[in-house]
Amino acid sequence: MPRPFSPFRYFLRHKRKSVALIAGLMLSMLVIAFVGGMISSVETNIRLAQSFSAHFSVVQALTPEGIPEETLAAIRSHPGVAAVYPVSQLQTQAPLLAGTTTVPIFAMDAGDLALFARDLNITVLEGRLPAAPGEIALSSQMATAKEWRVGDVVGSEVREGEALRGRFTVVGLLGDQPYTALAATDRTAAGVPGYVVLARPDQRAETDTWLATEVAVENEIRVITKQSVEESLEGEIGTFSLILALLTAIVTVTNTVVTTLLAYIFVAERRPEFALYLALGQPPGRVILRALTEMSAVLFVGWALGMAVTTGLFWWVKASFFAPRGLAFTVWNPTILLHTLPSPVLITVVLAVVLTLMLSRLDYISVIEGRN
Amino acid sequence: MLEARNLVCEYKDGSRRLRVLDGVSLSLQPGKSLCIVGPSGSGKSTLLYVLAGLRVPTSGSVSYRGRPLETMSNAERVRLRARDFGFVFQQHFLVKHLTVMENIFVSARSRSRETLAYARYLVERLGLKGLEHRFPASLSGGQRQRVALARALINRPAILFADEPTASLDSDSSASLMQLLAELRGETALIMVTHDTRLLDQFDRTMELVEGKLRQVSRRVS
Repeated sequence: MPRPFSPFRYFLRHKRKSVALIAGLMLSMLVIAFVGGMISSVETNIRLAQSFSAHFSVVQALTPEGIPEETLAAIRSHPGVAAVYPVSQLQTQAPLLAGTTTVPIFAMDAGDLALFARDLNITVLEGRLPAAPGEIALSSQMATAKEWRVGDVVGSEVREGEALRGRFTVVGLLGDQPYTALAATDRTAAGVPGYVVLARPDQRAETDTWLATEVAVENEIRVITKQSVEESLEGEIGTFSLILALLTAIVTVTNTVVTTLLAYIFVAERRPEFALYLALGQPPGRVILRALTEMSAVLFVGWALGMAVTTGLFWWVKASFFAPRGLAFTVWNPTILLHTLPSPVLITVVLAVVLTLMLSRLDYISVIEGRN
Repeated sequence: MLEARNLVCEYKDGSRRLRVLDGVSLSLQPGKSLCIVGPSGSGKSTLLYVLAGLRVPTSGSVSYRGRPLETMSNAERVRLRARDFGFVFQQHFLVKHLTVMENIFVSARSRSRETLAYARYLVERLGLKGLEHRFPASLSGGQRQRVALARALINRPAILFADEPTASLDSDSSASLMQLLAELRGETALIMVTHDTRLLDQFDRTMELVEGKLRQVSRRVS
């Protein structure tokens, strides 16, 4: 049965026009998704570096006097607190694709460290947990990022410019929690002294609130909770998000204008065809809907191909650049997917308006008579 | 079936008003044919489009089956054109990216097996067999106009409006097209405008449009 109004008929028979529209949209999907994917991965890795905050809070003394005994006793006796471990917070720098991010390293007595690892269900993939001062174990992801292996001697005393102060021997690789690094210390090692506070199950939020309001003292005691980490990350990541939004907006607007112009030219060329349909007694609404369906079908193909190519590219980028550097990279990111949708939707909406205006003003008899 | 009374059609031409139709009246009975002749620019096409409800007259009335077109809504007139009227335009106006068969189906109101069978019948009778999957660009002028005729007849319209369908054809192709039109239209009434006076004897009635006024030229005795 002949189907003159099949949605793909026009563009299947005008391959150059289809290729122009599909290529235009594909390119813009690639740009949006690629830029979005890169920025999103940087954001993900910055968050991962602070992922400890999902599991415990930290109370630090900002003065040489340390945390008063009564404050420490209050923390230990708080009903929402499951365990408190003395800790010295060190740090190192983990590379991102561009630049680095700071990663905390929690150093504690060897005995506490074993209990702490048990409380957090930290597994050892290779080697062992630190058992003596000067030993360090870190997540396999972080080890890849830092290019450290079991047996390596690391630290500022070994390599100039290293942010981890002192000299440490890598004794183990940890699983499950990315960017976790634990070191055994005699507590005299350099670092910010404080306490790791583990909350009881389901009492994290209340405990954190109490710590932030009752324990934290300006310029004396700092409390690092999940919320405070989130707040500090927001500022850092907000810049990336703003860049992403700006780039997406620029590409979306440019692409929408260019593709809409292209689509408009293709539609305007079909005025005699539309005039014929109207003269033959087809309702204008149906003619508009049909032209829009044809255009949307091509735009959808362009979008889908753009997404398919982007996904392929992301797999390659992840395998070639991110995974070897121990960096996380999300291949299928719903947020990026959402960023790619406004462009084809906007083009369709603009075309719907243009088509409606064009057909409502079209003097189809003049076109049929060859006077227009 | 179709009746026009005192049709007046005026156009603005700069500051002047041109009266193209000046009190035109006519009627057409079911199955009958009417030819309207006149020199180029005499308003034949305008009259045809007014009769078909494509143009609205300045004054006067066109009634189809007793109902004035001007009392119909836009949507009703659109439905009427799709359901009861067929059109063959001066230019074939085939859709370039559609095949012969798809062009015929552009105006088909039904996609039934009967319609397909009728389309095949028209294709065969119009000498288009074997060309069903060809595109208009590869057809001759006569073939294109025959496809346009098949498109106009596919719904078995009550009235076929033809606007100089032979204008771009040579005399053999014109005679052939008119012959086929006469054979295929069956119960369909026909109103054709033309300036080709050789075709007049093929119509039940012929009227001439001169300076916006219509007058009877001849009546064939059947």
